[in-house]
Amino acid sequence: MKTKKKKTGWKQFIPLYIMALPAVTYLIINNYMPLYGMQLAFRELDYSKGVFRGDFVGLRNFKFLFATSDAWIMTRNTILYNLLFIVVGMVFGLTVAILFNEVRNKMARKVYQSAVLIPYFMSMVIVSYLAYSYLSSETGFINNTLLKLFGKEAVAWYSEPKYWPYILTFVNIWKGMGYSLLMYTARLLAIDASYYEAATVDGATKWQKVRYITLPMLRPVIIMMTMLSIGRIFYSDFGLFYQIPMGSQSLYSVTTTIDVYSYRALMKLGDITMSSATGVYQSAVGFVLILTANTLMRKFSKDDALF
Amino acid sequence: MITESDKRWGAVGHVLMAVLAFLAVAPFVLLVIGSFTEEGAAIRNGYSYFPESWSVDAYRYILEQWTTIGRSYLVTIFVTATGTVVSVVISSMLAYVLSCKELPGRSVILFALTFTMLFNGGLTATYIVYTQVFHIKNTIFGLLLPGLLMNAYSVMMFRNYFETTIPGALLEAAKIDGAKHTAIFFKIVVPLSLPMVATVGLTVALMYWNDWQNGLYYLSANSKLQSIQTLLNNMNENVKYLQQNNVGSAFTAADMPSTTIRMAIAVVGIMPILLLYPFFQKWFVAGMMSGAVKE
Amino acid sequence: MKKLISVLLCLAMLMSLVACDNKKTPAPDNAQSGDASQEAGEPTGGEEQSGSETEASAIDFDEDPYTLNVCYAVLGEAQPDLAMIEEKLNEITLKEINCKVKLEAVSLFSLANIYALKASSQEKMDLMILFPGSSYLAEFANNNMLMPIEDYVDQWGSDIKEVLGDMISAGEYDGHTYAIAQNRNLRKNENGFNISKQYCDKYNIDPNSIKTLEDLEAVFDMMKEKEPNVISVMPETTGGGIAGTLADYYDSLGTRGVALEEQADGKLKVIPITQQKSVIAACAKVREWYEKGYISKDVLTDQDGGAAGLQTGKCLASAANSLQPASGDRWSYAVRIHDERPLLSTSDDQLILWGVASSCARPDKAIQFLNLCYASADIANLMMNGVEDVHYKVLENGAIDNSMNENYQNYWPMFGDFFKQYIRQGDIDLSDATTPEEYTEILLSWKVELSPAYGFNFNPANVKTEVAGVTAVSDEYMLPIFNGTVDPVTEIPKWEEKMMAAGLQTVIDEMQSQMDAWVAAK
Repeated sequence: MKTKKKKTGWKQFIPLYIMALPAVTYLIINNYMPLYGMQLAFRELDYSKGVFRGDFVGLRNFKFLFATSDAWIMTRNTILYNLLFIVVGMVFGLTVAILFNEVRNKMARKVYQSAVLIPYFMSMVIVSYLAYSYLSSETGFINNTLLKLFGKEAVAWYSEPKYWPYILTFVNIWKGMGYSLLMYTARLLAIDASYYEAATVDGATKWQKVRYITLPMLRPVIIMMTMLSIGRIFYSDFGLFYQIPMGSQSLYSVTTTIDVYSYRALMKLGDITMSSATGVYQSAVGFVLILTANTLMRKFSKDDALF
Repeated sequence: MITESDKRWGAVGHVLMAVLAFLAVAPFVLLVIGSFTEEGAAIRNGYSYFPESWSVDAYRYILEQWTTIGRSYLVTIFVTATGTVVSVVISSMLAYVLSCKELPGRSVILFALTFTMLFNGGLTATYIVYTQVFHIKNTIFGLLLPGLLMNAYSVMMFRNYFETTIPGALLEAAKIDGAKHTAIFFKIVVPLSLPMVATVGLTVALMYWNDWQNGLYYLSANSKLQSIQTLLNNMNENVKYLQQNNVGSAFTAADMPSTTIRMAIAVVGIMPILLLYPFFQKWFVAGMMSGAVKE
Repeated sequence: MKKLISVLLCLAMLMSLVACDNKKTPAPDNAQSGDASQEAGEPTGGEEQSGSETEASAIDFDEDPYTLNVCYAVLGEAQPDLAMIEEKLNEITLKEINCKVKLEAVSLFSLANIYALKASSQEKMDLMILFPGSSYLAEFANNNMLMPIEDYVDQWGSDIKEVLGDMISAGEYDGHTYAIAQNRNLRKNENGFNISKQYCDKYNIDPNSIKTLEDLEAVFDMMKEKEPNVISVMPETTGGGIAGTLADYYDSLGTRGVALEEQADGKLKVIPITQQKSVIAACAKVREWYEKGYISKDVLTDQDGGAAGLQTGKCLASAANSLQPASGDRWSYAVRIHDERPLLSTSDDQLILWGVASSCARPDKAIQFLNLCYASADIANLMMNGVEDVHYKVLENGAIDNSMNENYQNYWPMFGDFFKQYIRQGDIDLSDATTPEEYTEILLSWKVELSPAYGFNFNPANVKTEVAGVTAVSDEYMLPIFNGTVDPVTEIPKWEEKMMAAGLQTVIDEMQSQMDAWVAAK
């Protein structure tokens, strides 16, 4: 059988190759041809020669990048925020999903699920308006209504960096909660109910059931999601960090991530070499990280490894 | 078989979910009310759920500008529809090809696909390819093609679904009956994968609907093809720019649409999503649920 | 093993992809630049230049008209009637200089980015607006996005030179002319306050009686009592600094973080802005105001500036750097607090600059067009106000009413000689003048003082890293300090310390040595 297959050869696969063709063509155009541009990070910018013919300057552009304190700030922000989001997102997502699972009323389940999923569908531009209508210190709801209600002083939200790690984490969780609820719920529903019934018969408490049935059953998905996030720890949700702070300069120290920096370098000065250098830095370190994550993933659960 | 403890936990679940549901919806209500708040009232008391005085001025402004905004709407709808259909078709086809384990060169394609998740050439290089090789600047393709048309994640989601949900025996039987791959794909695989088609389709549709960057790079400001999100983002950026650069006193933020107006435009921008939400969220949830049941 | 081979195969495929790309891309590049030089560079340009030496700048009307791509700035969308304007403009340019013009609107906020993308993809671009020019001139000259144009200006730019006078040096950089400045109604406005008409009238405040900051504070106090919700003072533009209005005029040399100090012996010295005495004093004053509640807590991110605030009644006064000769406008009265005249520095005249892209095939045409803009009243009017009887009407007194049609309007004078344009009746109404002639008279008699470093343009190439660092630090510290949201006593030293850590001293040293060389050359 096997040898026969080989003999009929590759011809039987032609339709398959044709089916793959549009997508592969797009990948080549959209993803592979632009790779040529990575060299910009190693060239001097000289428009009169054409950007691809500037002199090779080795790592000079990177030296320039790392000479400023920006490089450290954006790297730190990107990694710390990602870690924060992974941990908080996981704990929060699991808690919500497990408690949601306790709600039996079908109608209520539907309503809750539909409601919490709404933010997931909104663009960050829209979310930035939502945030602004709450946080603006002159016209925002929090200062004008909430804080007044409790007799507290108004807070200048957009100029106090110390609040922003919380605000950004909140927005991130808020926007993603519907999605993570779905992810975990799907897994939870797949757990055989007889486990729980047996545990109930044995007199297990709720917490024991969660601890000894639910969590172990969710282990693969937890591991997979964590690994995926770690692999992308050098990338940030650009919309979140760029749109939500409304470009407030006093917040730069806590809102600049690598993606934001790269974009700002381009928008402010049209500095394409700096933007490319940042991109190369991000890709290179990101690549190493995802390889590491993948190796770890293979160790834990081979099926979920990316490649 | 419902115990006391179950009831207690159920109640906790209800409370928590009710709070979260409220948190999820409340901001949108404020946005809508904000867009109907009279400018002066907003300045005096801030945005509130119970504004002192109401006004439809913002919407009157939108109606005045309807040639621009309506056109942007049409562009957004067209781009979203076209992009989504093409995207779903080509990524599901690739996913099907990749799920065919005996295909020679499968791992090459798979690697090439995964690789794109890690490296990209950056905006400048992408721009050069699209404008100088394919000349899509200031055309509708500028909104359709760059970056959004297909991504590795959709393909992976489809492939996962095909491999785990569609019975291999069914495909084998079809093959033995002499069905061609194209026929198998369109007549068996696709009809069985509708939930995933919906999930991926919706994700892609949202990416198109919410995209503002392609419009910024691949259209000049003269262009009549600005999408609604590009329009909104441009307003935001202009206000930010004026905040950070002194470009002369002749022009200040006074000439920019006020926050209330921008809120109204935001409302107009999300209206279709909210209106269609009951229909598509069902599909989205169905796809997520079925795609995830794997272990 | 199989996996390894497949991975290797992939890599090989990738390499070949990249490689074939590598071979492919330079080719069109070559062809393009080849075309360009053939079309315009050596042969034609050379001919023309040699031709012109003999017969003083004659425009060749026999060739096919060249089409100039002109990028100008808009805030948001392009004007709806742009096509009509372009058509009218082409009628003039074809007749006068045998070329066509294609106008491309570029969003102000993405100016740098759009230019970088265009230049790197060698998209056709001839004339580009730099706005504000001081932010871009050095950067774009250093990376050759702009070309030196002094030869072309000498040859084709007689009207440019005549209209601009000494202002022409605003476009000079590193020994070459890289840009042509755009003239405006006033070269520099005065710093001061605009105080709300609405509240002055309501509470019988006489704006003319306010002469000092103490007078102003008394008014603020009074208002705080009567209208506690009204902000006493806002910076005029969102993101402006109130301290900038209070401080004496100084030359910031177009660079964040430094200031120019003229010493007793007339020597020019570059100092950190954190040591500029009147700035320090102004920051202390502003902090006092902030603590007294005159300044909004939201000042840094408020989406409305003081100009908008005056219209909506949100604020009583705005700290402005835009006071013009008139004593007020529709919404406010002017309050002048400075005795000295405004100091004009190079960067002020660089607000709007026109540069010629290095990829421009016909720089001669580009300069001819700029020259025509300055020579022709028709173009100046067309570009600013649109088409007569469509977008504006000429009134009996010779001014125009442009309120009839908003489908074409420019907020800023970007093209042509301001003084060849019609005066807008709206502007006269807001001024103390009654006739257009009187209005022009007032504008022309407005005096400014030239900074001793006027004409000096810093070349940051050697200290690029440091300038970027200092700018980043200043971005973070300057506005909060200038608006009083933080305590200047502790924050100014911190600001300076951070700037020093980012290399401010190196920047100052470099700037000082360039300045000394510039002074010596002068």
